[in-house]
Amino acid sequence: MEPLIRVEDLCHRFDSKLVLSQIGFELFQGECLALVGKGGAGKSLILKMICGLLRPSSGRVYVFDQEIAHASEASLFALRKQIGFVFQNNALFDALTVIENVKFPLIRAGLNDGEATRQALGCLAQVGLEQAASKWPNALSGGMKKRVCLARALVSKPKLLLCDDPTAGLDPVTTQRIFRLIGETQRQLSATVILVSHEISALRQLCERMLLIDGGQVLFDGSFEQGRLCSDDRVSGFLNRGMSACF
Amino acid sequence: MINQIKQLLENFGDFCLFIGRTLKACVCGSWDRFELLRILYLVGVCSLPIILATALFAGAIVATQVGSYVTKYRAYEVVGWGFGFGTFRELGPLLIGLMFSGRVGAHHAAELGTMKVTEQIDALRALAIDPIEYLVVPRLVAMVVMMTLLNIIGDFCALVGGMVTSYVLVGVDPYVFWNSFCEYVKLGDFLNGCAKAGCFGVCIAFVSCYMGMSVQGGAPAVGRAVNNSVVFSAVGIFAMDYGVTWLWN
Repeated sequence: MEPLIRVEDLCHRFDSKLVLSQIGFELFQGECLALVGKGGAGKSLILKMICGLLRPSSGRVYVFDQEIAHASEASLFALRKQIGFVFQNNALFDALTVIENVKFPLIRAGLNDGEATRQALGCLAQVGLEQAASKWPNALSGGMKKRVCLARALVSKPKLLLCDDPTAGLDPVTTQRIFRLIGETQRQLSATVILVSHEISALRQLCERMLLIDGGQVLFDGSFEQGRLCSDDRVSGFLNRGMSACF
Repeated sequence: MINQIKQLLENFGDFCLFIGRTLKACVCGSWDRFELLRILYLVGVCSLPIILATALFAGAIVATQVGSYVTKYRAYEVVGWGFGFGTFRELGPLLIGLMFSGRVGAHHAAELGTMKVTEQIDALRALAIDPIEYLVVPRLVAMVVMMTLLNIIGDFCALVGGMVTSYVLVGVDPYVFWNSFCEYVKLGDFLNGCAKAGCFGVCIAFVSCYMGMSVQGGAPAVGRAVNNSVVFSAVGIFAMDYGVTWLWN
């Protein structure tokens, strides 16, 4: 079975500073991977490189058997139709209402307005925001914006879902709700998911595998249980502290 | 010094690539009808009051300036020509272009810059939508079309302002003014101004969209982009004015 994502020797520099060094991993269809690590470790960069939003300085990224690190922007557009991306800062379009934000990818894909609205309302109902459909993004709370962003990412029924800290700054109830939604989506669509988050306890329930990034390098690749029992204090210490912080 | 020159050349190369990509998207891409109509409305209809006021005052200023010499030399029959020639060919497109750059260009540089720093441009790319095709092409088309149309409307508004001012301040009969205007001002003078306005629209659109799309950083970078957009658009307007005048003649 071919991996859905294959990352090989990924390196990235900002000016002369090396921010990612020899990152490598594989991910198969239907897997859920947690990308964890301290702030500034390079987790969001990896997500953006998998989506082709950022070009690595060196290394290769294969997504759906297509090498994307050196692919043209035009060829990436076809690939991105199968990817859903939840941005850390939501990145909702200010000039569009909530429903317009969610149906936007469908309209652009050529769906008629009535069908796009029906599907977008369905997605908004899934995230519990059907009443907010006509509101503008600036009238929403942080948690609501996150859920709209998730609905927009899910409306095209992506095969690959990339979530960049989807619960940053949210209360525990909303955090649980968002993780539950991601889990349900993964099961319904058999989607492959990569989650960047600091909610170790919630990630442990959702993801069977985690990748610990430290200083731009992969420090650990395995299950959470293996990580907790790892002889490397940096790995076990990070996970144990992360989990105890939740209680 | 060498680094600054290198940076300048890099930016210029980047700007040229941006122009190339936009022109390619204009020809090969699919146009978003609703976005184009929205931008046409924002750029054209919303700019109308400020452009009309500018044109009206521009006409009045030219008539006032010309007035003192007209009275001195009693050359009433050339007021219409002097006014039409100066306003249609030069003052109208130039002032409207500068106002347009300050209002519309700055607005779009700020809007696109904010979209860039809040990752909305990346979100478009992640949704498999080309930001050039969706954001830049409608703005380019709208600015060229509306700049030309606003210039035409502005020309006639300036004509009214000039005629009224000439009558009130200088005592030139509107009939004499109109006769002189119709007799000496050629269609070429009007078309020259329209060509300039269209070129200014292209210049403002490319500069403001490029400045917005190339923002890197936070709010201060957006401020710098708006500032650069206004400054470089003004420089571009004067350079294009010279170029069109030289070519036309």
